[in-house]
Amino acid sequence: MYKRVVLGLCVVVCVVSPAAVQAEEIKSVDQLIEKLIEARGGRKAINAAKTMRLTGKNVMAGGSMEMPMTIALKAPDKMRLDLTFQGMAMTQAFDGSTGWRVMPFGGDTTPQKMSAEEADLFKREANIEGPLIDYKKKGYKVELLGMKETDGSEMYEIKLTYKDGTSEHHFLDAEYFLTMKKTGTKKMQGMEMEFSTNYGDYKEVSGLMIAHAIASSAKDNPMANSTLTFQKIEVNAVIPDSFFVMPEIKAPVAAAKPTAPDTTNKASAADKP
Amino acid sequence: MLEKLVIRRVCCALTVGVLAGNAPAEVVISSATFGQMRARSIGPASMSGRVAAMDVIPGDRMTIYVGAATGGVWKSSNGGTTFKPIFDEHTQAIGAIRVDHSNTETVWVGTGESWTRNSVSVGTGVFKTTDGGENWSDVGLNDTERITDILIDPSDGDTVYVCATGHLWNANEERGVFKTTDGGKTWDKVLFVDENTGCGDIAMDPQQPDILYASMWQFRRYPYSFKSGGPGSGLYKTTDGGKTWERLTAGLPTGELGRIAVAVAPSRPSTVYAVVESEQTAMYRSDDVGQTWRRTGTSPAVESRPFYFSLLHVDPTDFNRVYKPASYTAVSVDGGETFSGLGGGTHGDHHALWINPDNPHQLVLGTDGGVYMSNDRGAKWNFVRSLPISQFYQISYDMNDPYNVYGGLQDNGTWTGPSQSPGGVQGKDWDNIGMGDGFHAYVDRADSDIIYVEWQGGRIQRFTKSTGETKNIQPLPQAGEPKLRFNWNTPIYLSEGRTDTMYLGAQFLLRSRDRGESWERLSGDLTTNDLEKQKQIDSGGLTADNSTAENHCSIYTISESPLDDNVVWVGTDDGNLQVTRNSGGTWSNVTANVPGVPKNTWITHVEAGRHSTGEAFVTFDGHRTGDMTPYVFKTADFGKTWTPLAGNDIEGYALCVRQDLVNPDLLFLGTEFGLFISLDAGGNWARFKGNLPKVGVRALAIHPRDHDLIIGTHGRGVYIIDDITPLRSLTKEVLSAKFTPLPSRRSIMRIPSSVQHFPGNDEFIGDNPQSGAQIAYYLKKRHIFGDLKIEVLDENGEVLATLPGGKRPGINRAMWSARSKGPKVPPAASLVPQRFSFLGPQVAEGTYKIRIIQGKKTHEHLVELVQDPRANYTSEGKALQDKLVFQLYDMLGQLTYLVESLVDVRKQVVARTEKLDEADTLAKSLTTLADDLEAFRKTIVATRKGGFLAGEEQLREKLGWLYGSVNGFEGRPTDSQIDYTAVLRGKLDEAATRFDALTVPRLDELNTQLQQENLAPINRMTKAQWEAKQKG
Repeated sequence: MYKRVVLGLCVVVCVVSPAAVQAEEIKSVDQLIEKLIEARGGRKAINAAKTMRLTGKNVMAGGSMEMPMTIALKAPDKMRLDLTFQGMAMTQAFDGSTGWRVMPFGGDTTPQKMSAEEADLFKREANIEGPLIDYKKKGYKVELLGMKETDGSEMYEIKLTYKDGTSEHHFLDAEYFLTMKKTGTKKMQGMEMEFSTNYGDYKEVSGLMIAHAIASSAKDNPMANSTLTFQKIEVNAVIPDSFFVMPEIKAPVAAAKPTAPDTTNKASAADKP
Repeated sequence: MLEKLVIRRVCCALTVGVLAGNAPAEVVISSATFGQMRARSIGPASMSGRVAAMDVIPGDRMTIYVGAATGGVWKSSNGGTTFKPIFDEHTQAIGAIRVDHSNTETVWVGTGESWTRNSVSVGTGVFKTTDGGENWSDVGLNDTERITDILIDPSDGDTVYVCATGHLWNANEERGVFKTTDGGKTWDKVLFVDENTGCGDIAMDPQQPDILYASMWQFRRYPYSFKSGGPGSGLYKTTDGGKTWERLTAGLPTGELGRIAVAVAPSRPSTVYAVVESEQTAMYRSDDVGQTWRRTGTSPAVESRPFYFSLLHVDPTDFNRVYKPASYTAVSVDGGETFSGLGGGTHGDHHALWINPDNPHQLVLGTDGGVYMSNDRGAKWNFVRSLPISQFYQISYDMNDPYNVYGGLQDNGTWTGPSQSPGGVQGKDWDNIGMGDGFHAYVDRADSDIIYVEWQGGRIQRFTKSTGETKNIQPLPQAGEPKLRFNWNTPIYLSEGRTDTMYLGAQFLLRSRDRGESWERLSGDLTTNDLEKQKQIDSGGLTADNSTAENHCSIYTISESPLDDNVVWVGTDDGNLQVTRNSGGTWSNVTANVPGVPKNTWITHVEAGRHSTGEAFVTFDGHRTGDMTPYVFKTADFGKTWTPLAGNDIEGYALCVRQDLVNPDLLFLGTEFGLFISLDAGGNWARFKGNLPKVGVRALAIHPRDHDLIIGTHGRGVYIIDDITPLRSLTKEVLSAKFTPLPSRRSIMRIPSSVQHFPGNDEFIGDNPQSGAQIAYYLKKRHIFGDLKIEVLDENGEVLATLPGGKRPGINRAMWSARSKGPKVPPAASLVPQRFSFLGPQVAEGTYKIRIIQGKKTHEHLVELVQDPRANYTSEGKALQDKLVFQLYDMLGQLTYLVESLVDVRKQVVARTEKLDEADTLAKSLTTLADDLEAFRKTIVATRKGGFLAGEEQLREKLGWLYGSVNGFEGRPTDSQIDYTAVLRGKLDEAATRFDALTVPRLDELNTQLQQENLAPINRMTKAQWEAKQKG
């Protein structure tokens, strides 16, 4: 069930569509992931990215709510997400061992530790290259389910199973091998929800092809649909480790440092391709 | 297949490349053409629909699989709290579901229901999943049409038996008992009688899985009758896994048999029960592994409609406790000798039952009205409210705003519900307005309080919504007139031309112009009046079954021309297509002019053309004789000649067709396998897949004001495709271009509504349409690289909103809220707890320019916004609200500037202090300033921990709340709000003055001292600097 192009056509194809030059029989999931690596800028560029800071906004409710947002990542396993609304910043972070958050909207600016389950969810998402690359090292299982029409165009579907048995599906464009979509179920703050994330507006940054628009939707909650768009993505900016570490709890905490609304449905670093 | 796809794509690309700039090439549409257009389900699940099969994995969470008769497979992983559909891309008619209990991720589904009533759908074989329903593979037996049950060998999951009922309306060979030993790769037909006899039921000995009992059943349905029974029927047993079978007769009735249900007692497999349809249908019992039988007792539930209820369950722990589901479920506690009923409260007509083997008090029951669960052996029941598998026959709408939908359902009466409702369309929003089996339902065009409804066999009623009163208005035969023959699903038709005119079809066309008080005959017998097809009294075979479901030689569809009310079309169930051009003065039978349709093929729908008087569209459906071909035709000359419109791109027999109200080339077709759309008057079709399962589409309506397509499905309730305007513009030219903006309907800025309601998760809630302005465009190819975004501009060219744009091939839709960006609000201890304080003010109605930016290209477009017509604001009031809301919006901005500059100054002060010795006088002055600033801040924004529960309200909270209140109502603000704005204005000014007083003179002085210490001066952020920061 995998894409095959009749060899004779290939010459013609090259003229029409440069990407189809890469068209070849995809036999295995590893071969497909190699294609993804190549499409993302190559192994060297991916390995060279030690930090990434994505600055943009989260757009909800048909453009009437815009929330400035940044996602910071540091290899191998640190991540922090800050989202501002009504001047207050919500933070969720994982420093390599501890997950924590500040949820100031209800009146509490004290950093709180995440539950082990939630921290695990962050941990698996706290890497720059995403879960597919080096999946074996990470202890994940992947399976190529084949190519099928997805949202109107041909895509390869990969099923990725995490160590805890939960799985998600990644959809790679059949021509360009970049991630277009991810679907799955996740448990956030006790609530199980089916999510679907679409990636678009790919642009090259420091030799890496990165999605600049990430649209998230949660089934059963269309009001929560949102899109993250990034104005600036910096690769290898200096981000100290301390940035990811939970601040010591001082009482009382001054409200000077802005921290943000319930973001469980909003994009997280999990949503980067 | 994939090669083909790739080649087609390449060819397409080549063609476009070569022909760029020339005339558009022929463009074949596909499901992808419709892109992001999506049908939304509004349920209802209040009455649910027929459930034909079920299996359950007991345990802590209890996983339930439900097979709907025509609504697909649903899975609950939480014991029935929520269900999700897991089979939407496959045949929705389900006959059997079995979980492999030795490997519960493997589930087998047999498509095609075997409860063979008149309205039953068709299956396409056996499907299997090995991952709990995420992916399904077709494992064959595709011509079985319907499957009663599937049994899995408990010791070997690859060994599976399929009880295939086979074709209902014609003979076929692929029926009987099939067996696979390789997980479905290959099948052996292990028991077969003849092409007219299928498998009626099957049971396995749980301890010796090579022992099986299978009943064979001879049966046939015709468009006009049903017959159960014949020499092919009988009960069989194998002891070697199907290699050899022995017919069981000892103690069983002699003579012709009908359908036989069979069940083995799990706790004592030597005891086997059977309900045998015969001249004297009764229950039989064997206590010697099926070798000899004796008649036990009987009851109405045992005797009732064996074709519909041939199932039997024995309690897993008590071999004398037997359940016999039927129109109600009877239970025997003495091994079948006597029967009593289970508790009430459930819908009648029971087709599936599961008894928890670990706790036999727990039952799950599938009925004609959904699923019920009991924890006390059926004394009391919970109803599952999350299964929108309702089986509509017809659909209509009214002109309320929002409009309501009306329709009748199989065994569930007639219902009406809103197209949208605050918080989503829920069970409580739906009202029952008719009994029995429901079909057509229409609101009187002159009086929206009057609704015409009916139940089976033409029993038309006039229902008054406000009082609930019903008047029977069925026309009755007058002296000298023959009996009126009404179809099970009798057509009612309301004229579009005259608001007082209603038609009703018997064998004659009847018309009323006084709301059903009197009827006039407009025709002679328009049917074939074939007497051989009017012997419904004999229908049923061994068990009489004449419920009007087999009524025949009757009118089935009526359509009056919207352009000329003298032109009326009629289609009959026995294949006559008739037209009058003089209100019934004369009729032409044009059937013979339709090419290629077998004689007497049922006409499912006729539709007078909306754009030319001579035009009409018609669908024929021959499935009741085994002919599954989709037939769709069009005439342009009052039926003299007909053009076939159906090609290979349509799947499923044709049920209804609609021509668009605006674009004559846009056609919608409902078939047994979904909705199909043509953009070129029937030349090419593609299935609409946007959230719409492959379900039977029985009725379609286009709302003339809202331009929604309303879809009545037989198995998945009502779906709505909001605003089909973009589809109307999909010309060949548009489909050939890389990018084209598409028009949408006028966008109504709907009055927002909300509800405080916490219903839990166990109820289906239908989506509302998106509010705001729809922006649509067509993309030929997926957009992957570079920006694709949408900017909305005001009249001065200022960007009001930037929206992410959809990137998929086909139609993309984005939604703009029609509001300015949310206000700036200073940081404080918590959010302002008011929904409308989060949102920007609504913009004024009018036309807005849209800029769609795709990489380096920019496409311009317009969107029109109008006020909600339900709003009754005065223009003075609206103008006042506009002014006040923006005033408050600006005040919030000013306050934010003030607070942020205060925080910024304080930050600088603290930073300088840290560079000085604590004892330093300057340091002390700075600390005093920092403290003063913080003390001041606490008087303008709430800072106490605990959020709004702390009860603290400062200027920010008061202003934010007032802004939200004024923003939430688009009409005149209250006097109190207007006056209070002035009060807060004063407080804001005071705060600004106080900030100046705190900082201006002191900073001058401090900065001089800082300079002496070689420290940078402290600067107050200017308004311009702050605004620049906001733009980021």
